[in-house]
Amino acid sequence: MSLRPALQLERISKAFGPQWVLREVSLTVRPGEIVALMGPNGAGKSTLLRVVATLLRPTSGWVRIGDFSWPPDGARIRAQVTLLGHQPWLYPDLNAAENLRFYQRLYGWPEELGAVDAALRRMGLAERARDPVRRFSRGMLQRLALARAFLSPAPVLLLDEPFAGLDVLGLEEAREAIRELVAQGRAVVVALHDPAAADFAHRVVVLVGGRLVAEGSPTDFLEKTLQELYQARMDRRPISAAERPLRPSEGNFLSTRGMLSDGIRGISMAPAEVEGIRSAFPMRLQRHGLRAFQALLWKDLRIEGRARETLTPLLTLAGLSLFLFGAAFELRPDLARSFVPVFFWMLLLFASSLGVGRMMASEIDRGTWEGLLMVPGDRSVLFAGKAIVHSLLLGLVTLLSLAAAGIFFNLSLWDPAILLLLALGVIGLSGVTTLLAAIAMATRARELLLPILLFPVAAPLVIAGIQGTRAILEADPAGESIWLQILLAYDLLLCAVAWIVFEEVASS
Amino acid sequence: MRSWERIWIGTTIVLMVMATLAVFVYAPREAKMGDVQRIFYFHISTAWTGFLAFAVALIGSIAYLRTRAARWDQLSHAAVEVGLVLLTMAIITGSLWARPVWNTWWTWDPRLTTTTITWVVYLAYLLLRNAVENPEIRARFAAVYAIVAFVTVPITYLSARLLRTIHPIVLGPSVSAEAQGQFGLTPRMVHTMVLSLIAWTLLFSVLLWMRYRVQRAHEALEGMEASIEASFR
Repeated sequence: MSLRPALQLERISKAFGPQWVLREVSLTVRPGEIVALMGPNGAGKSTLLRVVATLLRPTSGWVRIGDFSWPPDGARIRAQVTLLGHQPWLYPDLNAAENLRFYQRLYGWPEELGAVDAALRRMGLAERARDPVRRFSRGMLQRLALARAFLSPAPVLLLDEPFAGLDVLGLEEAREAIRELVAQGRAVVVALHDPAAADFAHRVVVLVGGRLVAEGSPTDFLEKTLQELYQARMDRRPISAAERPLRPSEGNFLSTRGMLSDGIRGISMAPAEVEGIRSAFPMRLQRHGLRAFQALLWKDLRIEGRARETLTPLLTLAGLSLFLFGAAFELRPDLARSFVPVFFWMLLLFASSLGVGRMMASEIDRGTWEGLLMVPGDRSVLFAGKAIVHSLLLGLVTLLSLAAAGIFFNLSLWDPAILLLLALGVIGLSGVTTLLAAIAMATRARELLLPILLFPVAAPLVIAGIQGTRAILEADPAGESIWLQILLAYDLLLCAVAWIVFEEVASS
Repeated sequence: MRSWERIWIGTTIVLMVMATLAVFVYAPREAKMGDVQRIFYFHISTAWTGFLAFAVALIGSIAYLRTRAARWDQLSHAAVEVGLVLLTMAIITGSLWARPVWNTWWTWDPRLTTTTITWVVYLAYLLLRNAVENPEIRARFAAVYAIVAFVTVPITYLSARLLRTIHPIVLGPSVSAEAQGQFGLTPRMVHTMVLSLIAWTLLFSVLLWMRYRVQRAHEALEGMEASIEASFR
C-alpha cells in the first residue's frame, strides 16, 4: 500500500548571485523514515535544509508538504517543519525550561503539562532546567537544542549535524529520541558528515557540489566509498559502478527508486496512523499570531529585565547628554522653550538608533534571529513584537529623561499634548527603526549604516516632533494642531509600510 | 543602436534645444524678478523629473518584490541614480534663484528641508546597495528601502501646501501668505513651461534607459566573471 510522502523536494536549485549551490535536487521522504543527507564540506547540505525550512527561498523548484508548496506558502510550510540548525538558537539569559517554553509558544506547539520537563529529562538536562543557559557547555547547548526539536509536534524534522559536540551518552540519547519520533510517523532528514553516525538512518543520500549523486542504505556507504565518491565528483570524472550504490537519473531522483511503497527497511507505519499524525498538528495560524506576539514580548522584557543590556546604557546616555547640554548652554527659560525640544527629539532619535540597533544586533549575534524567523504564519508578528518592545524601552527612557529635563531646565514638560507627541514619536521611531535595523544588521557596515538609513527617513518625524513641542510650549494651538497631524500621518504611513515590507526583509 | 532608439534620442535632443531656446528667447522677461526668473523652467523641470524618477524606482521595487526579476531591480537602481542627479540640479537651480530673490543661498524653509531630506534618503539607498554583497539580498533590501524612502516624497509635495513656507507655488493656488517670489504665468510662460517639462521628461527617459542598459550589461559581466572563476575552482 502506498503512503503519501511526508516531504517532497522537486528540482530544487539555489543560486547565490552567479554561484549555484544546489542544482535540481529532488527527494521524497516518507512518514516514519530517517534520511541521512551526507556530503563533503560545502556540498550544500545546510543550504538544502534551510531551503526546506523556508529560511532560504529556492531559485527554482518547490518544497511540498501535504497540500502546501514553498514557494509561495512558506508561512504554512513552517508550521509543518522543525529545524535544528548550526546555531542552538538559545537565549543565555533565560534558563533551559524558559527557552523551551518560549519556543513552544512562539511556534504554537501544544503546551501540554510536563512536556518541557519530559523533553529536558530525555536529553539528560532535568537537573539543569532552572539554570541560565549562559552557564551551559557546548555539548549541553546542543542537548537543549535537541530537546527543543524533540518537543515539536511537526511532522517533518530537519536536523543539521545534530550530534556535534555530544558525548557518547548524549549521542545515544539523541539517536534513541529520533527513533522514537519516527516510530510515531515523523519524517526526519538529518545532515551528517560521519558515515558511522548514519547507521540509524533508513536511507542515505549523497550530495556533492549541490547535486544528489547517490542513494543507498547506510551499509552501502562506508567511509572509503564516500571518500571515493566525493573525490570523483570533485575531479568531475564519471563515477564507476563500484563507487556508486545508485546514481539518480536526470530530473526526479526518486523515479529510480520506485514510488512510495512500504518496502523501506524499518518503516512499519500504517497509512491511517500517519495521516493521524499529520492532522494532529493543524496550525491555527490566524489565532497563533497573538500567542507568538505575547511570547516575543515576554521573552524580550524578561531578558531586558535580567540583563539590562539596552536600558541601562540608554539611560546613562540620556543622563550624560542632559548634563552636558544643560552645562554647556545654561539656557534661560525663554530660550529653553525653543532649544529643549530640539535636544529632546534628537536624544530620542539617537536612543532609537543605538537601542534598537543593539537589540537587533544581539538577536543576530546570538544566532537566535533565525529561530524567530521560523515562526509559523506571517512573520510580521515579529515586527509587531519587536516594535512594541522597542517602544516600551524608548518610552521608559523618554519619561525618565522628561522628568530630569524638567528639573535641569526648570521647564514643565508634563503637558498631555507633549506626552501625546512623544508617544507618537516613540511608536513611529520604534517601527521604522525596527525595520531598518533588520536591514542594516544584515549588512557589512551595520553600526554605521543604521543611522545613515534611519536619520533621513525619520527626519520629517523628528522635525514635526520638535516643531509641535515648541508650539505647545509657546502656546500656539494652530501650530500644535498642524504638526500633530503631520506627525500622526507620517507615523501611520511609515508603520504601515514597515509592517507590509518586513516579511521581505525577514526572509532575506 | 536600434532605429527606434535613434529616433527617441534625436527627438529628445531637438526638444531640449527648442525648450532651451524658448526659455531664453520666447518666454517673456518677468516684471519683478527679471531674467533670473528664467531659471524657474529648469528648476521645475528637474524637480518634476527627479520625483518622477523616484516614482519609477518605487514601481520597479514593488515589481521586483513581486516577480524577483533582476531587471526591475536594475530599473530601480538606474532610476534612483538619475533621480538623484536631477534633484541635485533642482536644488542647485533653486539656490541660484534664491540668492537674488530671497537674498540667501539657503534657508530652512519646509519645502527646501523636505526636498533635501528626500535627496539624502535616496543617497542612503545607494549606500545601502554598496553595503550588501549578495546580489539577491541587495536587490531585496534596496527594494524595501526604496518603498520606505518614497514615503518622504508626498511629504515634500505637501509641505509647501500645508506649512508656512516662503517657497512660491506657481502651479495651483498658493496658501502661504509668506511666499516670496510668487508670480503669475502669462500664456507664453505656460507654453515654455509645458515644452520644458516634455523635453526634460524625454531626457529623463533616455538617461534612465541608458543607465538601465549599462546596469544590465554590468551585472551580466559580473555573472560571466563569476562563472569563469567558478569553472577554475
